[in-house]
Amino acid sequence: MADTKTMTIKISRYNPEKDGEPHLELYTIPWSEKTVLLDALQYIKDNLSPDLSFRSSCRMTICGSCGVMINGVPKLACKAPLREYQEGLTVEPLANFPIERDLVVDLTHFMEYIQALKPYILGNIRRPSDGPNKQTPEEIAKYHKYSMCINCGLCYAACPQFGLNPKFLGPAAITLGRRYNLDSRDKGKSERMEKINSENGVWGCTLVGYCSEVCPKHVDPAAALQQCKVDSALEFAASVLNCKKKEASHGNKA
Amino acid sequence: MATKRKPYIREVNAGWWKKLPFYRDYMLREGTSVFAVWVSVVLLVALLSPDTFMSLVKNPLVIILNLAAFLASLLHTKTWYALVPKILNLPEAILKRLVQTLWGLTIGVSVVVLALAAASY
Amino acid sequence: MHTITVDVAIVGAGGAGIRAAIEAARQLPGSEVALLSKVYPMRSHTVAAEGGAAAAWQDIDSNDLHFNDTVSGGDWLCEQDVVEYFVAHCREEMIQLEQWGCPWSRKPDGSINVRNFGGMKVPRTLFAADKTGFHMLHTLFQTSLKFPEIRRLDEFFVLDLLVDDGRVAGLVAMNMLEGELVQVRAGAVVMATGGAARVYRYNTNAVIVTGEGMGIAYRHGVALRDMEFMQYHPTGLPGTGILITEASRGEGGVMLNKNGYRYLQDYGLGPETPVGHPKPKFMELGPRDKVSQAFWHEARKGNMVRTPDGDVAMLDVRHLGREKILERLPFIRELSMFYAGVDPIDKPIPVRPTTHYTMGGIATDQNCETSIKGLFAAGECSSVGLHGANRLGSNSLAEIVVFGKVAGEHAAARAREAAQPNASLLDAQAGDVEAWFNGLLSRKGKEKWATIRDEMGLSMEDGCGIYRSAELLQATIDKLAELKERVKNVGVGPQSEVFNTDVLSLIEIENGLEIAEAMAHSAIHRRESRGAHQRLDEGCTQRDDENFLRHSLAYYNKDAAPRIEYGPVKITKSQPAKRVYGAEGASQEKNSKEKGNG
Repeated sequence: MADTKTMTIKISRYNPEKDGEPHLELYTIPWSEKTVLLDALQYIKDNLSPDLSFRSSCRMTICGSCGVMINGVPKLACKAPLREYQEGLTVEPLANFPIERDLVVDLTHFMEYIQALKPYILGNIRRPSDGPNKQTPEEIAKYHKYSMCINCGLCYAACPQFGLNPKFLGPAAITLGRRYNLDSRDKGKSERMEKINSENGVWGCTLVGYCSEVCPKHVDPAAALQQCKVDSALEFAASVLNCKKKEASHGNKA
Repeated sequence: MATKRKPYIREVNAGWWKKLPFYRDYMLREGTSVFAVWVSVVLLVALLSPDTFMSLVKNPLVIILNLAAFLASLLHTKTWYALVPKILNLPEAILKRLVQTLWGLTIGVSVVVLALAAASY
Repeated sequence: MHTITVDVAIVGAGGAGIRAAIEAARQLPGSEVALLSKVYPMRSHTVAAEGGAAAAWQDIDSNDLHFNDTVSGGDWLCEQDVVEYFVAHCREEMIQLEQWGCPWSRKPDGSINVRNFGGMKVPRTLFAADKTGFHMLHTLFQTSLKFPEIRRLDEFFVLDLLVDDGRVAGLVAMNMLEGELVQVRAGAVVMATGGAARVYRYNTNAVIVTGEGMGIAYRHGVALRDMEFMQYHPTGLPGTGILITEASRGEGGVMLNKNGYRYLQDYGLGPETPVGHPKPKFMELGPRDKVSQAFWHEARKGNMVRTPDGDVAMLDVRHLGREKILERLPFIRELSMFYAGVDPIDKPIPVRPTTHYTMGGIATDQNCETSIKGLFAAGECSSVGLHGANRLGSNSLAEIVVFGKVAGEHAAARAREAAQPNASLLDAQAGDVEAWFNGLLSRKGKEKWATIRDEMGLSMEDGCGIYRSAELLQATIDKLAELKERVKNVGVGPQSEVFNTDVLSLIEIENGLEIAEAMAHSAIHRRESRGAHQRLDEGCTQRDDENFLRHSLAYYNKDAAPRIEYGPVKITKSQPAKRVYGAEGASQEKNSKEKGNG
């Protein structure tokens, strides 16, 4: 490496079999204009501390593995150039998730919430022999943004409501539900609305909006959730009206 | 078999919103609701006892509070209009025009109301 | 050790693994299909595929044309019956993905659109902007959530297979979060662990693409076939190797040398086609091996742009215009801006060839089954015989679904007929794996796995690169032998066993050394030039059908060099001919058509 600039960064370490709580350790690493935090983490693992654990895979902002807190802000390590942190850099595991070891958090609930929203086409009986569905670019545009989620979990780390109530289904999962609700090929909205309306569903959101701010793919989960609230409210209004109607017809009979 | 895992859970305390400017802005936005309550109380007084209301609004403390409520409502309007596009799943160009229209309406109606108020004063 | 019993176990949750899991679940309602992966499914390397997936889609296209492009693209080293099956089933799988929700890019009338790709005569590459792999993987993953049969074992690192009398009986995996070994008994196992380009230093691959599935099958005596054929993708970003999709050229991007000259015309791909009017199988739409080889020659002539990250060519897409770039290549723009500091709307992108795809892999029959009964392989880790000596871009995204399905279907059939497991035998085998693993944990020594990995990668680039020779290959072979000794002295420090990626990295690198050896030895024995395997030494620079129209088969040979054998190539309807592109290719096609008509 021709570049000999160095930087000292702080990384949160936690050994579950030894430590009572996480602590910060200092590492001095070489860097250049092109170095991103993920490179630095790999450098540390390769050269300074092979027992440092973190997740990574694609290193090009598409697999969603390497989410961490940088100076308290959720970021993808592969999308964080060190040159932007010359004032100091503290790396911690994603907020609001339990820490398993070093920068590795437990994503079990997150995965369950994604599954709970039934993010797949429902109620469309077309088979491959029937040929593809038609879907115009305008119809795709309705949901396309919400299909770009990489499941990195940064929005959960940004969401104080998820922090306060870990049962809250949260931004990414509900957004994925919304993505399928908006898909012209899908007929499963009512099934998903059950979850969206449920106790830990969309009404747990108070529109802090930080989820959309930190999303590395500009998915705008806050928007998806507000649209779900509109759906939910309309559905509630419709059910009230239906009840009134039913009561009325009931009354007539009696 | 005993697990080797010992997940460390970071508790979220009541002061979480102080951590980031973004959260503080959010609390400020939510805080504007306090002033909305205040304005409702004042209007309620106006409805129940117009005389009390007239003397109330001349109280310097109330003037200060009303002024603060006015600023809070402006802030709330600004944040609310910024969020309108999120609720509607429409092309960006349309949303932009919509927000502009909303601001136009707000300013227009405010001017008319102020003018009427000034005329009747 | 914890033991679980399932019907089918699938190793790897990328496109091929998930497609196999869905098919097995469909075939065996109410069963249990374990889907193991060392990363969450969404992190699998399928996610990084950009350009698209092939299928004869338009009326002007046909399965035959797709067949011809694939077989000639593979320099006639393809299993032609397998290719016939493949081209006949791509369309169905693309429609299946559509019906599962894949957001394919469409035409204004709502029908699915296709784009040009290298080495393909007709536009037949379905795409979802330039994030096709991402959308395919997420569609498959999300669809898999619908099947209660699929039991995902996320972050389970598979260490070894359990085999009972020539028949697979399960596997042993590390539950990474628990830091605990688990025995998984299964009537059939599908390997879908992806390629092994990570044994090279500069590559487009995710850090997870280290080829454990290949290594495990190999050590159990299954042949690794055609391992000398490693694809260099012509357009990776310098330094990082991050992929710039071939779709950039499919949409009309051009390759320039330092003089702004479209050098591909000098390497059998010309004549020059007008800028903005890409012509199938000409110039920038040549196959990847030829385009990468042209770069090598141009760089040797000193015609490339010198940078601190080595020589680079320029990929120019500016003439496509802002709107088309934003619509068709938004991710490429994002990647170029972030990792190369270049906005392709205003400036050409610096690119260089980097290793991308492992054409060879675990040898299977056309049902994706290996020489071990009940052990299947699908996707990049496998060699079902589709790609031959060079894969055409967009055939692999089609492969993972077509053959993922085949593997899942046949694995389900094997699971149905599986006998009761011999518990004591399997426990004993699992005990051996545990002893080996504990041995790794307590290994002491001064070597670092990172050093071994880097030296292996550089040595593979030097000896087993775009052009090879006996001398260069021998140096690499010697180096690998040295590294195999040194890796025994890598120490693993005392630490928590929870998410211990230190010891898992060591396993990945030990495994990588075995695969690298299989590649280098297969390469030194193939004394000819074919597809992605090009040699510079005397008597080896031409294709030699007489001696080498054969698959290489590398067999594991504990503590010694792999044994290289050869197997026949299945030819059904395409006799080997001269492999040509550009004007020569066009006239060859014309002649053969006339002959066919006459």
